[in-house]
Amino acid sequence: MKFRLTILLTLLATPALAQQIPADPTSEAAIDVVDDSDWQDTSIAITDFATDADVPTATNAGTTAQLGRGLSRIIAGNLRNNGLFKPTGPDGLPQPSFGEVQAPSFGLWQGRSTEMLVQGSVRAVGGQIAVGCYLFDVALGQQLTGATWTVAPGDWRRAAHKCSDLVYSRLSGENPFFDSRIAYIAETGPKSRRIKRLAVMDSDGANHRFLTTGQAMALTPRYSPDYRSILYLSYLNGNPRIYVYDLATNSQRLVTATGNPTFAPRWSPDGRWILYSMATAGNTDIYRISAQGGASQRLTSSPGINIGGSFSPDSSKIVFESDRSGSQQVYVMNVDGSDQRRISFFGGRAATPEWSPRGDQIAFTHIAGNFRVAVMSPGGGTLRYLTDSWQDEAPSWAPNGRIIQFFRSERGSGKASLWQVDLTGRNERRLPTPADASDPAWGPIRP
Amino acid sequence: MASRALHGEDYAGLALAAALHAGLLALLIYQPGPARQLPAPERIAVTLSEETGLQSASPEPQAQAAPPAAPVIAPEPEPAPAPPGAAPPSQPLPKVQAEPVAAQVPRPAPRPIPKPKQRVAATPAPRPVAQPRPAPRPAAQNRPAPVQRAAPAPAARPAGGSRIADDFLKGVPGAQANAASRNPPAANIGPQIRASFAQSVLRQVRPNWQGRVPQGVNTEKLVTILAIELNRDGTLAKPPTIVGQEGIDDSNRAQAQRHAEAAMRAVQLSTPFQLPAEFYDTWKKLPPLRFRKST
Repeated sequence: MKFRLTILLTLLATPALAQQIPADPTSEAAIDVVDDSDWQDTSIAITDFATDADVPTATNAGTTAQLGRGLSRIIAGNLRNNGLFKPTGPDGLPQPSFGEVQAPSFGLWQGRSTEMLVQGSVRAVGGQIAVGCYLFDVALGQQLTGATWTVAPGDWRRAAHKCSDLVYSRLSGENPFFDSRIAYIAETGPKSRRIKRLAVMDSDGANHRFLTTGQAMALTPRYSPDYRSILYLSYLNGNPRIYVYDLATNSQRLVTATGNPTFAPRWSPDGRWILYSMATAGNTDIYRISAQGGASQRLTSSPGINIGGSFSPDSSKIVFESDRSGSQQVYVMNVDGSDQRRISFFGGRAATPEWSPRGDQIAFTHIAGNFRVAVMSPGGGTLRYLTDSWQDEAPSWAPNGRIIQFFRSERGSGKASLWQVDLTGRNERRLPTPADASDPAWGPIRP
Repeated sequence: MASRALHGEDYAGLALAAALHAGLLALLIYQPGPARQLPAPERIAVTLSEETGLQSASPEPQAQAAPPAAPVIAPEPEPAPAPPGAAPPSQPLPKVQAEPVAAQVPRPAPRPIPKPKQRVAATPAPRPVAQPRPAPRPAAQNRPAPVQRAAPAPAARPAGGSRIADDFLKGVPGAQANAASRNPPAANIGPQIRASFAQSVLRQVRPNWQGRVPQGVNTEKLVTILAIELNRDGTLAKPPTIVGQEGIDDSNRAQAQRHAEAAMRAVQLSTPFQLPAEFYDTWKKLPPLRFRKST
């Protein structure tokens, strides 16, 4: 009797083991062409940009012929190391004449087993530089895209970035991002007396410039959408306060006059609003203020630390960080502060959320032992790690929402450097900076 | 009895059963992580043709079929009379035919080992025990299908013709040609042949699609379906047309067009297709091509 009971109970449990075999919906009679190889970097040959007449220019590159070589070098450097392209040249390639720029001899290039070809022209027109850029599919023997720009001599590198953007957008389907600038914090000096200065540079590290002297520690810069100013946190006179640095006049002003510490500044996508966090009496809350000044509006009111805040691209929502549940987690609210809800439920802590300019992802730092840069959907689903190192933090998006910049600290020395990773997490690249660097912030594509 | 049974060991048994169930339930609920990834087996491209042949079909529709039998036929052998009650005819035993050469020289014990060219007759075999002729080693034999020699002397059969396995090799009635083709004639090209052209196209397109799915988030979900029409020389009669795209979401929308473009490029790079011109009507309009990343 008792055995029977035991057997019965055992039998009752077995149906739970029943498995479901998913049906495989094969298509009708279609020919199924499957790509089961890893991505092959597209090989791109980039020749010297040809000129009709080798004349001196007002650029720091030299004559138009030297400029042509400089342009193609910048393009090759841009396209390298982002996991999509395998650029070659301009060195070691046959160089086209000015007349061949738009009509390359495809047979020659097919023999060199290159898939794509970038050719361009450079001319001095008045005091300006006219640059043409053309992309060809060598195998099919046709032009894919082309464009021309006229730039001031001082902006000649931008023409190369624009050509890189043209090629990148055409071949990846993504929005451009090379013609943009990056603000960051340059770090020098010993660990105990670290000097942190605000600095800006082009997306490839060129045109580097320090904005502050380092007398006051600077942190968390953010480029305004029109590139006219930078929001950042300065410990000027010992008080952590947010300033707006005007790049045209090299002057700065307080965002809001208060005796309380303010930090974590962010622009709205249209540049009309500024989010900041202010600590008062043990609580930290997020405020919103017009970029023109005026009264601040408090958006959070729960006890604890509510900090950060990043607008969704349509400016309707804000993602921020709060420890109201006991540990740092990521929350989303409407732009007026209503409907606050937690979206990160991944274990560990989640900090420094940043909404993608495309709106489809939120980047953040996931802290569970190590600090790792990760992305999730705006609803809080599908956590994906992009990096796996000791301490990667403070992600910020490239203007196209496909590359994330962050800073990585070395274990032990604490030396920090700027890194980029694409959304697949496969392609990491260190950004060259003259000194140690942290807190990178990518500006939008330049107008 | 029931109340008395639920004492002592019963509680122990019940407790054990409950504990085991709790354990099983816990195991099922908290399965330890995702299943371990086994190394994927090497890929084999398999194409299933799901076309049905509504017409009779053959690789060589106009071919003359083979004649029903070989040119020279031996006379019909007399079946050995089976004594009544010997063997139920519902139990046809496969009959192993000895090689004619071996049979020409009467040997007391021909080796009954089946040669590779053995033929099986479908006629019910009489039991050897009941045979008037003494079978070699009749009693001691323990084999399932003992040797059965044809009743007429094998010498009566000249070389060449054979009626063995008539039921299998009937051929086509009325066929005249002298072994011109082994295929029966039919009105049309069969689905297998169409599928083999599709296979051929696949073999030619596939290398140009390797590593060509654009990089990006969720691009492995994208599927581009292209229709192509070909000229007799294997070139494209017109640019490939996009029949449809599947798997587009917010993250891979930017790559969808690039995906289609890469698929069209793969087709263009594969032209001219190497296909037999005599079957042009069959492959001038092929089934649509589905371009995707392996999952």
